Amino acid sequence: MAAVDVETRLARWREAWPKALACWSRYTRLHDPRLCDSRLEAAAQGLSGSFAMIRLFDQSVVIDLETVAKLQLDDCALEILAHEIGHHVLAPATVTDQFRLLARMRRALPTLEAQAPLMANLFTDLYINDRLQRRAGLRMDEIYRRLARHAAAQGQPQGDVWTLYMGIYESLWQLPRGSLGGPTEDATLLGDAWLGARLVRVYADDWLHAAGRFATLLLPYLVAEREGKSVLGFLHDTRLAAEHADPRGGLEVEPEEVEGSLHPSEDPGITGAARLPVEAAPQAPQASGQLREPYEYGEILKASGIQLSDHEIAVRYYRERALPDLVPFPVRRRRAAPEPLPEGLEPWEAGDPLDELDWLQTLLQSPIVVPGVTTVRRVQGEQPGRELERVPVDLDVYVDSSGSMPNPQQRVSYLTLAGAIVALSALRSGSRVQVTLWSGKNQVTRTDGFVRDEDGILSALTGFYGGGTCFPLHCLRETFARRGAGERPVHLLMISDDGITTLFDNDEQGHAGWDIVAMALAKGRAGGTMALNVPLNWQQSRWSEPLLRAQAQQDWLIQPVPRMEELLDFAREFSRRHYQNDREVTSP
Amino acid sequence: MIVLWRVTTHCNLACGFCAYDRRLGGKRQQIDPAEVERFAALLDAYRRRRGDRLLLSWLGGEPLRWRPLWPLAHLLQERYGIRQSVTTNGSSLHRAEVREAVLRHFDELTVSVDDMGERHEQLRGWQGGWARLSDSLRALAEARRQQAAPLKLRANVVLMHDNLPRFAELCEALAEWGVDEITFNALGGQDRPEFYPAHRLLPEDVMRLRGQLPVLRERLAAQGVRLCGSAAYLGRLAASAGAQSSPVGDCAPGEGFLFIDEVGRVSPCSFTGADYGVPLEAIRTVEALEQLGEGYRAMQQRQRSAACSDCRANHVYGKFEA
Ligand SMILES: C[S@@+](CC[C@H](N)C(=O)[O-])C[C@H]1O[C@@H](n2cnc3c(N)ncnc32)[C@H](O)[C@@H]1O
Ligand code: SF4
Repeated sequence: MAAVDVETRLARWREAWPKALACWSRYTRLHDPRLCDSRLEAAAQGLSGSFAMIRLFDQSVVIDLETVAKLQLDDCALEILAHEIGHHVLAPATVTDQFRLLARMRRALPTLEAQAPLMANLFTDLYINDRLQRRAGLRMDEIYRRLARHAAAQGQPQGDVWTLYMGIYESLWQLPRGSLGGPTEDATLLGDAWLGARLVRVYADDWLHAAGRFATLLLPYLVAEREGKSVLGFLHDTRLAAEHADPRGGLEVEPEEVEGSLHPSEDPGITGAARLPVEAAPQAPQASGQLREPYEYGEILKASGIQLSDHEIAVRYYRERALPDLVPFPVRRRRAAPEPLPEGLEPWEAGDPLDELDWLQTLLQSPIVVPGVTTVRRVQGEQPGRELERVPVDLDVYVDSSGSMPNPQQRVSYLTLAGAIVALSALRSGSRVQVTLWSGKNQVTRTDGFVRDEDGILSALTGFYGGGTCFPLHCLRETFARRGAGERPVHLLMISDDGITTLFDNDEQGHAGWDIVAMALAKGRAGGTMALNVPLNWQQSRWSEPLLRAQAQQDWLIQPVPRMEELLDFAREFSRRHYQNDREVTSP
Repeated sequence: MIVLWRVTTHCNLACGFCAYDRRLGGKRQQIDPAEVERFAALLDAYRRRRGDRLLLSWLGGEPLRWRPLWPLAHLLQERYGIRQSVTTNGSSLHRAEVREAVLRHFDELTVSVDDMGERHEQLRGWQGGWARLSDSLRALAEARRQQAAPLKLRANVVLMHDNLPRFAELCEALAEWGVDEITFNALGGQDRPEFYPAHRLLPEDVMRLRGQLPVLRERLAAQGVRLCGSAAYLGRLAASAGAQSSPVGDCAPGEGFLFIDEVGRVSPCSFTGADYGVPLEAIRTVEALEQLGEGYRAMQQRQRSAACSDCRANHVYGKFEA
């Protein structure tokens, strides 16, 4: 094809866009594609390796016209654009379905999980292209012919994965064997290509259902091949599909994910057999209905193009997991509402209800508004003699992150989860929370004091040290030394194991821990609880002496939690007692 | 029309008398299922045009281990209502879902059983095979009874000099397992020339069998089991045992019977693929299918296959008749 100038090329692609939308439906609406006339510009959009990409978050389509031209696909504007739109309207279409798809692919590709994103991409392409070729009459086959030609010209060897994949298209579209580069002689490849096509036909209206089966069909070829860069890379247009998206869902292992790693030749939907219990079925590594470990959750998010660190992923993970166990948001009780009595101003922070922000006072403080810094809210007191409105009790929680505790970014940590449930429930009831994560000497992470910032709290909770055990007495000391008598009461919560006894050692200045704790409790005015991973009969342990004394003399409530999972029961019960707005409990 | 399709030459067992013994080297083949799908549409159109009945019978190698089998069986049944049968070594019938699929998709199932107990296992290189077969077939018969499924259960025995003495006992066992029909054929010599001489049926073996058969047939009939093999068929067995050839006048090639092999050759019987085989790709219309018979006859006249001078095709000799 003759070379065309940039303007003509851009005009052609712009012209093709409405037609490409119409291939799906007259009502399909997406904002215009980003047509990059150089690879550099495309790379700035995050597009590399392929000649096109989509992002579900902002429903965008990005095309690298330079690479398109290099692959001699210039005249396939309609096909390429319609294909990208297909990812938005058909598969995966939503971030949640992209997670579900990747979870299924990963499950079906043991040891080759890293291939899941590309395989998921190839899989959704089948559905999109089949519709466009058969229903919209586009020449999707032409794209593959050109790609094969390009690969051949580059001397790139054609692996079996590509051959099989092309064979599936040939079978779907009843093209002559080998016309797209599919198998011609190899009977196993021919059989598998036919099975792949059957899969797409049988599950024409339920692509997600077919995902694990498709991956299972490809698995042996992937194992044998482990090829490096191939022509397949050009097709990877959903690599960043979920970039910038707020992950919702994806936490639960769906039953279909476990059962769907099935070879199409064994699939009752394709063989017509009734589903019967398979004798001596291999033990599923994780039963359905369960929740994933943070590591796997993170892998799925990353495979979807979400660019977050393990720590940031852990924050999202524990927030999602804590959500069902949080106390409900308080409902205002009409009759019990006391007469408001203006008491003064206090800082309004990100996370506080917007309607509590006092704009007038904020602007009086500073004409330049910096949320969380110059923003204030009015504090309302109560008229005496009226029905008691609960005073929020702040929460000061110390979470043990020593070597005896799991890394919450890898495996589910019930300490972290319990901390999240309690802290987020406290926020819901209007309290402020300070989180201190601790391990050995100088191994401390904490929030910026008592805050109402969910992310900050979860970020502290999901950190990890895995070091020694030395309670950070200086933190406790400083927190309460500063605290004025007029401030809100604070409840102290320790989540730990027998390592908590270091609370009663001396601090770095030689002060007795015992005295620091006493001071903290006195100033906190709302008591203290210890949830400890210790046996029920902990009183008989040799380290129990300081705890027994703390219980007797300082009124600590000590809650033994022999199994880590039981921390969740503790957290739910603690949250209900402290933060649920249906009783007037302010301290245990 | 009966179409016997050898879809694969892969097999999981090691029968010393068979060409597909898993221990043998050489290239294994299997048919492209897309071709089966395409040809089935033609067969269906042919059947409609002729008002004929059609039975597609899957053969191997071991057809139940060929991955596309069940997807195809389901597709052909759903789309065209094609009646199907299979000949199997039975090694996957212990799986409940396989039995279920058999009951759903097949009108007939033929299982190969050649001897009693361990002897069968030794013949087929299949340890524990006898007990597995016994359990599987009983379970299949029971499931068929419960579902009132129309499946015909048949067993086929390869008769040899060594197993003939236990043939009657074997038939009794098969009857007890719930088999409806028993067929037999003589060990052939082409597949494994090294095995044949020491195990072939001798003329006196066939004579003994001939004598035994009426009594045995009666005994089995009393149990509701049909023992097949017409007089002509026994005559053919005797001729083979005596090393006499049996030419056939007119076998009506391509009329009521077709054999298709794993590489897609369509021929009038399993012995003439190389000589008369028409490639599947060449048959793209019902007319082409209808003209096969004529074409075979022309070939028989022009350049007769050696196989036709000593015809061993079961369907010609009434193997399935009593
Ligand atoms: C080749 S097998 C294929 C189907 C399946 N694997 C089975 O064993 O039934 C088909 C039939 O041919 C029989 N057979 C195999 N080799 C034979 C031979 N050399 N002579 C006669 N029959 C033979 C088998 O016992 C079986 O009944
Ligand atoms: S007779 Fe059947 S089971 Fe035995 S090797 Fe041949 S094909 Fe396999």
